[in-house]
Amino acid sequence: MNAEPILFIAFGALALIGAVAVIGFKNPVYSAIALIVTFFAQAGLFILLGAHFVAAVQVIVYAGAIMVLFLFVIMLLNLGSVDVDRPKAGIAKGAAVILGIVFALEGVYIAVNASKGTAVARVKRESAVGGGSISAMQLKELNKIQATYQLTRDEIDTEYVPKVAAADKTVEDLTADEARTLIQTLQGEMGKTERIGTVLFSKFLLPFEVTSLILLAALIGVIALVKREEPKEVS
Amino acid sequence: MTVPVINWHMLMPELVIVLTFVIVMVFDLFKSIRKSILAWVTIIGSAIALWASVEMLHAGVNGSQFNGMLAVDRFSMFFKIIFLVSTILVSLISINYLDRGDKRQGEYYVLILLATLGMMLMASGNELIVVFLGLELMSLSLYVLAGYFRSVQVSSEAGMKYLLLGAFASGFFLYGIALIYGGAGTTSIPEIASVLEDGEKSPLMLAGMFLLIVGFGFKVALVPFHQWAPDVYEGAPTTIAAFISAGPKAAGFAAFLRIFTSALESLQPEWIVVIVILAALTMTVGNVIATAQSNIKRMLAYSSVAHAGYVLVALAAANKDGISSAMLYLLVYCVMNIGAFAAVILATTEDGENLKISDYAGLGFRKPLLALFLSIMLVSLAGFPPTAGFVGKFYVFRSAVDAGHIWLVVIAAINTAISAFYYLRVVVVMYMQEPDEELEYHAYPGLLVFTLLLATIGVVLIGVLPSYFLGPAQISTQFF
Repeated sequence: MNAEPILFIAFGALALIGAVAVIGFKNPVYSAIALIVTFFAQAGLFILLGAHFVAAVQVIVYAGAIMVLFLFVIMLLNLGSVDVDRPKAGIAKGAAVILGIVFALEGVYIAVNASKGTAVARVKRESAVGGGSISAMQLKELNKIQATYQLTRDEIDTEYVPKVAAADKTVEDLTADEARTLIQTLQGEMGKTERIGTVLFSKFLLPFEVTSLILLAALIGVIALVKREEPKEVS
Repeated sequence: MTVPVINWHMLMPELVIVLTFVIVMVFDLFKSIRKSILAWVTIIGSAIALWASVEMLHAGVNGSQFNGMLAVDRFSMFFKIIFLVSTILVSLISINYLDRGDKRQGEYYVLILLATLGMMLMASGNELIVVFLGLELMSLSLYVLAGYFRSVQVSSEAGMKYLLLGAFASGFFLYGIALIYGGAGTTSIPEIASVLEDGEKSPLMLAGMFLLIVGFGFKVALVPFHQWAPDVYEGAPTTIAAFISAGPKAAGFAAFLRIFTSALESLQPEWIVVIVILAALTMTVGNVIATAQSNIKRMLAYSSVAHAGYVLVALAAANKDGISSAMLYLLVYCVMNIGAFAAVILATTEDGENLKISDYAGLGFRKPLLALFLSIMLVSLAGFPPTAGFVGKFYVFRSAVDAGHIWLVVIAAINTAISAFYYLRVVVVMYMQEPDEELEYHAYPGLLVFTLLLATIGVVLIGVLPSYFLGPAQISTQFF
């Protein structure tokens, strides 16, 4: 039996419970611990998507480093349980509930119809017909993977095609079923650290560099806000 | 692995800005250097970048860099010119303003430059991820700048409010990008357009589109996502209020225009309805509430909300004329709005900022030059000929009429009449009312007057010779 749906529901439920608990607890330390649960569950979801590297980073950076920082700050500030003024029932609360329900229904509608008309859905539909040779849609999808992950057609032919079909075949001779497995294999491979590194320094070089600027801006901003001010009169 | 080939010439404006902020950071370390030097470095750097952008616009660049992530086209160059003009004007008015109190000037200019860089990336981003990163770079810098005067409580409050609501809006924006990626399988703007062209409309794409509208709505302060604007404009340092009202709004619209008229062009029947409703709401609510304000910064905040509505009217036209008139309008709006804020700074007294409109009584006799400049800005904001405000509105309305949105233009025209009421009220107070008490004004700082003079020349020049500015906008509507 396929364990993936069960794991997905388990991790998804855990993430949701953790998230609700974060805002539910009155004691900030409990909230922080609940947040760790959510982070771990998210890491599980990333693994299910084949993004192993992101999952590991999620655990190390978020569940690890950042949460330690959170707990440290909470303990340094010595916060007890905080009394939050819960808003009284009013027009605002009623409107929020109604809008929340509408939003949830929209979410359900989208989730049910999510695959309609998307590129992924078309690939699936065409390959579901089975038999026959590789479809134009699948070729397009392969080209996209190739472009995104900076692979050459030769690399796919020699490294990945043998995993799904006879070794002497090339992409063009694959059957539709084999092509589907190939696409899945490739998508699975791509979560690996080496590939992510390659992609970050080639195709996504600009976003990568801009991220460093954002961190710099945050750093300078924090310094500007906490630096000791020379005494002066307030205007 | 193929390392991207980078054509450094095409990245001139961005590179100059990066270099400038590094120089400002290093100069800030030397105690012996006068702090106003930092402002001049910022201004000179921005001016060089501005010159590069103008040159590239003239040369008709049309290409992309970093594997198609960054579009280097005339559309982005036109917007870069708007941002850099705003940065230069804001830096000019900051020199005297900061000398009045705060000593931390290095970070101030570095953050302004980083925000400018973020805006340039938003205008150039040909990939939703780059647009988002540009948006974050800009927003992060602005959150800090809004709360820059820590010892002033309203300033901290402004920074906090802006941060919380801005982060919330970024969440919407990012979720929208995620859904669009789920639908199209790509985040590249041209690729999304081609996926949408030969496919049916998936609910994922539609939901993503609406979330993007909400995200942009927050960033450019459209009704009903405008609540943060008055509080932030009122609390933030006045120079920063001028900056937030000008460049970032233009940057938001740059990305808005590129994404909606290029990537999501096939979904036009769906989004145009939303845009038309938002435009009508934004103009009406912004202008009506502005009439009730007694604080001039809050009045300008609501007026800037209303002006975003006029730009949406151009977006609703959704054709080349609409895009070029929106671009011209944003240029005009940035110049006149910064001018108006500069006049507000000039009108402050020794014992604090007098921001009540009633404080302006009699200004026309006691400070005739200042009153004249402020009047020209306000008349332009209201949209009277022969100022730039009239030209901007004229082309926006014409493009919307041509596209068949007659009733939307009727609403816009009624709104223009409402706005004339509160802009001209200030002029009336300045020239026709006697002051209750004698106020001690700051002496005229030369730089502020110079900036106001620049803005006034700009406003009149665009008003008299609109074709010199509309022309470049019209040839810049082609996206790479």
